[in-house]
Amino acid sequence: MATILLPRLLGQATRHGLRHQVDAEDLDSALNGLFTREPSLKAHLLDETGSIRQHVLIFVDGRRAQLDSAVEPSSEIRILQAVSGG
Amino acid sequence: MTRILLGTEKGGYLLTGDGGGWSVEGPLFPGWKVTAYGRNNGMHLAAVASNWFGGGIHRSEDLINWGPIDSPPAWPEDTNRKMEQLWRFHHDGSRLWAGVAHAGLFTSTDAGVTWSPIDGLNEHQTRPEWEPGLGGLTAHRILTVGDQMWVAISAVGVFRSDDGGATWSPKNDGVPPVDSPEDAPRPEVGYCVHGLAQDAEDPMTIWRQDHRGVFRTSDGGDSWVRIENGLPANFGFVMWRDHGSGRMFTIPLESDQNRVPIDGRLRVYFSDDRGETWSVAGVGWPDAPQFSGVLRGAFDGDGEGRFVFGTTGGTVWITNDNGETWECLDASFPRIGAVSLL
Repeated sequence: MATILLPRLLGQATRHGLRHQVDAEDLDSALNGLFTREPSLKAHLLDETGSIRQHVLIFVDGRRAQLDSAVEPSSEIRILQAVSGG
Repeated sequence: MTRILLGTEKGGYLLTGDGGGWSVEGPLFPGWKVTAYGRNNGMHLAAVASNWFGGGIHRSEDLINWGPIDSPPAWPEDTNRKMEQLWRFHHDGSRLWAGVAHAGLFTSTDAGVTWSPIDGLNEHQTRPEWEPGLGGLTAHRILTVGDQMWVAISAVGVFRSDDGGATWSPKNDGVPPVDSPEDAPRPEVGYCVHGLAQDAEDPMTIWRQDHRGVFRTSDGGDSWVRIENGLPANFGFVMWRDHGSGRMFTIPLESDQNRVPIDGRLRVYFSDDRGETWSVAGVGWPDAPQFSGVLRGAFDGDGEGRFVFGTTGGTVWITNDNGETWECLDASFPRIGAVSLL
């Protein structure tokens, strides 16, 4: 199962912590698996069009990923917030 | 015991006073902006927002343990609107209401677990002409009396519904538009309301702190008249009426160009004659310069003579005697946008 690692800031919006295991073939299905366990994260990671929020970065095995990026059972999916703000 | 919830740019804080001092718990929601607090019977609500992760709502029964709701108010994909943050909770005794940015009104009948849009306002025929103000395109004040409702939207104006939210009409006659001379042709929308307060016994009387001055209506918003006698400036955000005493409060700021207390003299102004005349409220104000303003959600009262407000500089002021004496708490916080006196 792929592993999703959430940024600490999103710990406030979760019920089951910052580390999640999901069965998925691509990032889109991985996130849907995450949203099944943590429904409140959907509004925080995706915008109203269903796209990844502008200031959210997602890496799959170290590479910047889009929703259609492939995910392997051994993949590590890291969700980061952009470095910005004050 | 007095409890105060602060919503700041960097988390929420719970202040508890027992007469001998104050304890501070927090930050709640560390790293998140806390934009509004609300109550629905025994359930407390907190609206949070992040520049990266958007808005959300948390609920708590004890003010310590909070949990997120799954589905906060959201715009449909085809509207091209963003849910930036929630600005206001309002509970009318049976339903919970929320004003949000991008501007819209939502309602919940299950204490904030699920939300439905109020299309009569959100899809109003004037919406294509709605333009944001400095704080965004926000629905930030909600008044309800039976089937009558008023909603304030920056920089659009006040809307009233007489049928429980099905249909709405702009109610801004007498108020100049935000970006036009007073004698220019009047647009249907484009009025920058900042704060509203209502007379609970005579709900057709409403007071308004607007971008362009201080106003009162006695006909539910059909017509507004200026009431600025005694105020050192007519710009500001706070408009408050104490339901117990009838006393009014506002906090003037220099101007829209310079949104700070005039000459660094932070003062609350009060009126005991329904806004006809205004004077500095009480004593306790510092001689030292205070150049922090007060935002529309950062003033609250309990109807029993206690009022509290927070500033953009993170200080907290409180009075326990209907505004006769004011005290600044010995603590400072991040920029304060929301205050709830419990």
